[in-house]
Amino acid sequence: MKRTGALSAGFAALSRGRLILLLTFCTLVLGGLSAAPLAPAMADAFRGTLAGDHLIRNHPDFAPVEVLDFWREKAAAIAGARQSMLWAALLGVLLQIFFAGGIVETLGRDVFSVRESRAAFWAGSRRHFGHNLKCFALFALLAAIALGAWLRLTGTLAKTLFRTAPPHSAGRGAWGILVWVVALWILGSLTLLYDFARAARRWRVGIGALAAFRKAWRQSRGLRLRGLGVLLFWSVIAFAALLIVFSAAWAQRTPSGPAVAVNLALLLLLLAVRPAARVAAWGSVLALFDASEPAAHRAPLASRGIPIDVSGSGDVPQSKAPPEKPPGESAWDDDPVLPAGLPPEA
Amino acid sequence: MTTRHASLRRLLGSIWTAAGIAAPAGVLAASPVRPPVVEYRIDARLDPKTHVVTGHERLVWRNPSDDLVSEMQFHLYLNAFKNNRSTFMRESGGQLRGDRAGEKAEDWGAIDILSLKNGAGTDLLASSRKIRPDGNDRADETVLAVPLPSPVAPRGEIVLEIEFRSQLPRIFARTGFVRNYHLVGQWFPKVGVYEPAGLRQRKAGGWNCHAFHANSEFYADFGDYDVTLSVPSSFVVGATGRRVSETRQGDRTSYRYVQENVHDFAWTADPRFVVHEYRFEPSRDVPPEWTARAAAELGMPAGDLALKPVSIRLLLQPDHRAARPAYEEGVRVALAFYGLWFGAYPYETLTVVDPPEDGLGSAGMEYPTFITGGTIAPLARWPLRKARFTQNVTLHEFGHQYFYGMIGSNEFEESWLDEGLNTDAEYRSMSLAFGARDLVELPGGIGIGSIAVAHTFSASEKNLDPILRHAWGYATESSYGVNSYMKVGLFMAQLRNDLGPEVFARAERAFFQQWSFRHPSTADFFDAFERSSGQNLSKYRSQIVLGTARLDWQVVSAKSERAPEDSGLFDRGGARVILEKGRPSGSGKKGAPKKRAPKRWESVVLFANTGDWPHGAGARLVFEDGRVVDRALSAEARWVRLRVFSTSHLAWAAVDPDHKNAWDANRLNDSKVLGVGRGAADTRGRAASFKYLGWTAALAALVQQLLWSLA
Repeated sequence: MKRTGALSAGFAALSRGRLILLLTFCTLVLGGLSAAPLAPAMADAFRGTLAGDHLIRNHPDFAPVEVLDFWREKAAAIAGARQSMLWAALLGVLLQIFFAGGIVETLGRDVFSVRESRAAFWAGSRRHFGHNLKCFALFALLAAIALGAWLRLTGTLAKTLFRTAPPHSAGRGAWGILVWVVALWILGSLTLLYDFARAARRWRVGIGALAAFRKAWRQSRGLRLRGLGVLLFWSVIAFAALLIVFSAAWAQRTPSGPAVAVNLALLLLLLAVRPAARVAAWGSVLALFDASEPAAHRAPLASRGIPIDVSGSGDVPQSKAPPEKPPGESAWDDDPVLPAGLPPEA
Repeated sequence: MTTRHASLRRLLGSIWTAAGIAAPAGVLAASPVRPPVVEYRIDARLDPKTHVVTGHERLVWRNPSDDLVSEMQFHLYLNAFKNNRSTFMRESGGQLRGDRAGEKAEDWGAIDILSLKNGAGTDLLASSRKIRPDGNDRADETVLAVPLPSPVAPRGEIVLEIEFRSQLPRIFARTGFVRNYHLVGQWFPKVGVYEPAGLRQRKAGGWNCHAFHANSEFYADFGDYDVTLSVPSSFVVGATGRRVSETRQGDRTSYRYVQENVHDFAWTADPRFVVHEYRFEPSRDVPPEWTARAAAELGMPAGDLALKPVSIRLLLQPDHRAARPAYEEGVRVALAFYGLWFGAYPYETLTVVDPPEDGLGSAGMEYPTFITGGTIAPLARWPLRKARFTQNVTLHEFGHQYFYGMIGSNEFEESWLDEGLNTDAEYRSMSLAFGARDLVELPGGIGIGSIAVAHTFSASEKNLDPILRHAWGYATESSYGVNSYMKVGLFMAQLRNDLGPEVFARAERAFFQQWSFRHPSTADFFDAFERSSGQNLSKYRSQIVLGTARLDWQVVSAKSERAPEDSGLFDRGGARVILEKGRPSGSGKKGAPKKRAPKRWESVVLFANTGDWPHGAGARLVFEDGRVVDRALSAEARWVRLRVFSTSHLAWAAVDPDHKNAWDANRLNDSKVLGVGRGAADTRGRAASFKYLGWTAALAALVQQLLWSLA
């Protein structure tokens, strides 16, 4: 494992085209399933009437009226789509939790061939799903408590502090900025903690969710500012890319068939932005995590029970030295036991 | 004088009607009644700490009828906010326009009459009593009846001296305070309207003085106001009328305002106001093309449409400085449009108040020469700069200077005559000034016009009430809103399309000019329109204004198939021929010349009006070769089947393709597309359905991705 800068690692992660495609494909399928209940209604309203023509040409008078009529007349289909979107979103969250295991297992490790990496990815996804689910529950709980408390506290305070202040007064403005900056900081910090807790499985295969959070808390000390910076960087990049692709797709007004095909291709690209940014952010976060993980703690891959085919490759790295327990390091106390049946570390 | 004018108008109306032409507008405008029915002189003092206004009112009331009037009735509107037992609070559930009343002790407001005497000094307060003219709640205290020791003679007058104390509520339903901002409306004892027999089709004279209801506004007589307001000198004041004096005494300043021929007086005081004063100059602010268009529609020389300069006083919140151009634009468009189409604004001043964002309960309200607009800071910034809500509300509230301001209809009983007619004028002026998407234009080609919003609200509302109802008699608050505002906007648009813009504009101006400074009713409106247009409008009146009729023309089905070719015996050119699939029998035999008949298509389109308002529509069939066939569909027909033989396949069929029927409830069923054509027949619905389904899926996926970010 080469130690690289967090941002470089993020950019390097972008080369994982298949992973990005997989995530994009999942989001596309879920989006398509969500929209499916609307398909007959859209065909009826837009393909079967002049409304579609007005809409695609953005007729100044007729298009808005007909869109709103569609909204009203096809309310049942829209309600159906909304329901399916809800379920698809839930499924999407679970998929994300699932894929995180594979990402943690394989990203930033240059030890796998493509075939091995694929196998390790799926194995990691399966193996860490339960752990990641628990981590998500903890993250959601922490976020709800911390953000809820912060917003409630500041809301109550604001009522007292600004009871007689007019709207948009300087005090109110500064207060609002403070509230949201801190809220974002809380969310960012918890996200970093959550990512580190999941990354804990990178080297400590049996670590539990609570222990992983404790470990993440300790391990992210001194790294939080950098970590937040990295997350912010990729968020900004993603937002900018989304804006650009979205604007390009939105601005394309030509109603011809080929133009619509190009438009749909742009939408696909739009959907790939977030997966790419997330993979890059994972790359950066894992690089930070790896850098903070004492080398001695990194278990050899062969000992991790990952069903990768190493026959003939002969290049799976083995730890050269047994992990040393650092004196006075309590983190070591809650080390999990390696999975049964696996050989002890060499 | 009024009677003579009316007779002459009727005579001229008959001549024009007989001649079958619309009357030219702008003749014989009604002038205000002088001396006025009411004269108020009020001295008031605001205590900004307690938000109490104490005042002395001297009221002169002139009996406009031939009756002996032995009782006076007064509105005590502020008592609507006295407690949760008032009719207003019960009907509104304590909320209006997003504001909630009575959450704190300081939220309540009330008006107390401390003394009430006639000119001779006789106390009238002891014998006065709160009454319930609408069978309203027992605890309601918004109407006061005052028996008089001696009746007021026909055309006679009475002078009353009243001391009162008004506790303003926290901003709620158009009036009150928030911090140091005070919007003082409906704040003094205001006499009701004594309607003589014949006025608004009334059989016998009597008071019209309703309780204050949640969904109703006001009704009062025209008169003169002379009001002196004392406030701390640090406060900026704006009020109805002209400021004629300003006197500083210690740390307080008294401002005196006077205004003739108005039916109410409101004012505002706030130390934070940023004052911007300017003049509306017709030569600069009225687009010449508007004048030309108005002149053409009204059939009047442009010179007769000359407007007058108006002094504008804009009182802005400091954080809304950037909204100034939007307010100015709204005022400019309004003064120009209403002035040109109805008549020049007759007053010298206009005060526009910008309420603070924590006092938006006082936004969007009209008082004579004094209106409140309403904005929020983001509307002055990208990307909402062209979301013209500020202009729209300013324009609408200004429009009330005409509809209810000058056309003094009864807002309690016939809210459509002021809110509705004003809404129609608002839509037309917005559209004229800002184009099809007059209300909102966002970056990326998104936008919507006022009339589209009206269509949507109207079509979405359960059709429970007719347009005309007592304001408190509608089934729901939204039914009141839709029927009093949007549906009237659509009805008037329908009427305009049916009559033509010239006939409509002349009729509306005639109505306006006939009834300025009077109290017209729904019957008077239709009477004026029928007289001016020469048309019978009873179906609009009975089925739309008094009924709940809907119109929904649609294309039920459309098909276009190869017409079967002629086969059999045909007598043609004096000879009998035998045809087989369009060819003479035997022509298919070996050696016979091949002569193909031209392809013929039989297109059948079924149109239907599934609403219950019998009204015609235009139908259009467009073929793939670009040929267009237009037909008129009869008003009486429930359905019409059109069968057309042509040499081309039908590309699409539509009813009311130009959206002339504003009353049509559903646009989505107005057409059927069968094929792809060229030119006028070219439709891209197929591409659109793919594109927008793709967008829906993509947006759904993006939203899901946003959730993924949390996982």
